[in-house]
Amino acid sequence: MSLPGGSVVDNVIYRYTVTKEAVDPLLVSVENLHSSGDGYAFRSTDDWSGVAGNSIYRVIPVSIPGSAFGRGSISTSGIGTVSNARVVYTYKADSCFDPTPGCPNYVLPFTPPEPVSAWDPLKDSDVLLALDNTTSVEEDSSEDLSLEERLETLETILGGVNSTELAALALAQSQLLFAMSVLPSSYRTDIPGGTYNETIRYTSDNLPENKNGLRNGLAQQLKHQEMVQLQYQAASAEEILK
Amino acid sequence: MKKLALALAFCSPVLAAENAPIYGTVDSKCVITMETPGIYGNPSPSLLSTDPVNGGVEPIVRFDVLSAAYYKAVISYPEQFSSSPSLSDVVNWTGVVTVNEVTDTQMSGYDAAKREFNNVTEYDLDFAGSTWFKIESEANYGYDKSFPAGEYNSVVEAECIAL
Repeated sequence: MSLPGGSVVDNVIYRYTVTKEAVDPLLVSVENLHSSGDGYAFRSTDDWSGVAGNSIYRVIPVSIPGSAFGRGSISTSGIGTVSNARVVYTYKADSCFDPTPGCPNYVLPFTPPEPVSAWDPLKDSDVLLALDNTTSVEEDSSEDLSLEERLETLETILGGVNSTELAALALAQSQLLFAMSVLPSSYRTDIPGGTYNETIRYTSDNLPENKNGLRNGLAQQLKHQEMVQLQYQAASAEEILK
Repeated sequence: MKKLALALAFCSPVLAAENAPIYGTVDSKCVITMETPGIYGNPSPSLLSTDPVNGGVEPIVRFDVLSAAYYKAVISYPEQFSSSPSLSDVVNWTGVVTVNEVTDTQMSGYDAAKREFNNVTEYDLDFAGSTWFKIESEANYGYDKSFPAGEYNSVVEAECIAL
């Protein structure tokens, strides 16, 4: 039995006719194997033992996922026959079980983004044109010299270059500093060599006091005495008032 | 003083009264449904029969019982036409009521336990569920006399009577 995905069987309705004698035992089962192969998804057994055969019509409400229903059959156990059997399954199907556009749980499929073309500088025409410029370098003729000769030549070249460049640089710097008057002019004056003896001598042993200082000290002493006398004068004046 | 108060209490009039109604509805626990109307076949000029062998259709009546062992079904096959052309001779009626279909295997025993008298068949509805009853009816006119042409109608009576 194949039902739509997401369907749920809510009723199993069956009808069949039993032909038997009343005294004979008979069990009739309407059943569906479970789709997983484990047991039955649905099974209803009617016991006809002790009653005469007849037609039976049953509506059995269930709530079983349609996916669980496997092969269906009607089996008997006992003496009797079953005929005119008919089994009807009523079910509800969820049309959005497999979401389609318009279903609430529909998710738009993932669309991979278009590949981004990376800029390869080695394929750029301008870069290739620039790289195509070749510079011819003349080969050094000194390749034929020996190692010692090469070192000597190198020292000569480097020494000359260094001394010349350093002298020119120092001269330019000194001229700049003099122009800025940062260095005194005597900086460049040539001082003759020889011995320079002491020419100034202090001959007197008596060091006279500074008269200006003396005058100043005396004035301060006089002022002090005057201020001291003022307080006595103020005390005598208060006694008089009393 | 106490006697006076007691006398006054007995003499005080009723000041107010109210009746509280109680409503209730009882739904039938036995429902009869006519499922298949019958048709008379006319295999011979003097015979009208609902037997499919004779070209007829047997009427089927369904009894739905919600409560077991509370009701009995009383079904009567017809003994006269409810409408027919004018008949000048006797019509001999026969019939039989049988259980046609059940919803419980135990109902299949109803036929063995049914009671028949005259044109009436009684069943005790001992099990809850639905039972389909099939009524067979035959009418023989006179002694091999032809039925006059026309429409013939009869009625099957089905009753559900509480025990």
